[in-house]
Amino acid sequence: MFALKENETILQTVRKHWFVLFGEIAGLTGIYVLPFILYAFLKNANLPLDTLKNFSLLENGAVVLFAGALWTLCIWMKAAAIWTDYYLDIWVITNDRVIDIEQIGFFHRETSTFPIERVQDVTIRIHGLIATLLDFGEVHVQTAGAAREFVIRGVGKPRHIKERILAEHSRVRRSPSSSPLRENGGV
Amino acid sequence: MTFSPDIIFSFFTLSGTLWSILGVTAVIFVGYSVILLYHWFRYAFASPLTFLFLTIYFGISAVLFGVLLTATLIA
Repeated sequence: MFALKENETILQTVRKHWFVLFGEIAGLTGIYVLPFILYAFLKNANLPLDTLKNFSLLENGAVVLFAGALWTLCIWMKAAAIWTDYYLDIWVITNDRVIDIEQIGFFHRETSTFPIERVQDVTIRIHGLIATLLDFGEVHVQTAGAAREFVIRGVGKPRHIKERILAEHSRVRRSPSSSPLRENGGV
Repeated sequence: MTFSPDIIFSFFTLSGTLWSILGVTAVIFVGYSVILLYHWFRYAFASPLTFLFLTIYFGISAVLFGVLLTATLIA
């Protein structure tokens, strides 16, 4: 995934909240059931005989079974992609830096790193009733000299993450010489 | 003039068409799974969760291919 420096330890690995995954899977489930609802409608609707003759394949059990299994396989493969995207999209907080790994589909992966000591501001945003109840939201980190703001969306316990980053930032700023990486010439 | 899905099968036999679709699906599935395996072993390490995920993924996929094969044989 990435190489840790000497004396660098992982303090926390942050993933998006399970509700974010649940939302995507629920959407996919909605798409999945649509053809089955349509099929049930066509089977039970009192359509004119001429119309029914045009869809005689719907009466063939083997074809219906084949189509159903094929559609299920397609949705299943998409679900695997959603899970992979969710699982590989992480923030890793170490005692020296924060590593932001963003997986966007199979062929787009971004890895950004910012040192803890360069953190200037950490902001959290929690929108909506569900996010408030389940405690997930966005964490924005502004760093000195950074070209962009680092953001992780839909993350669980954002307050805890903010406190963790700020606590580590304070520790590094308080005693820069205590940073094990600097003693070894890192960063 | 109304469209009929049966037109598709007027050129091929039903069984032959289903075998063709099954073959194409199998090729796509293999390619897709290779990409998936690459991502899991490259970025998520060979952890127990990886193996659990892969077992579930390939297990359910095998069942679905079994259903597809059965339906093709019946047709």
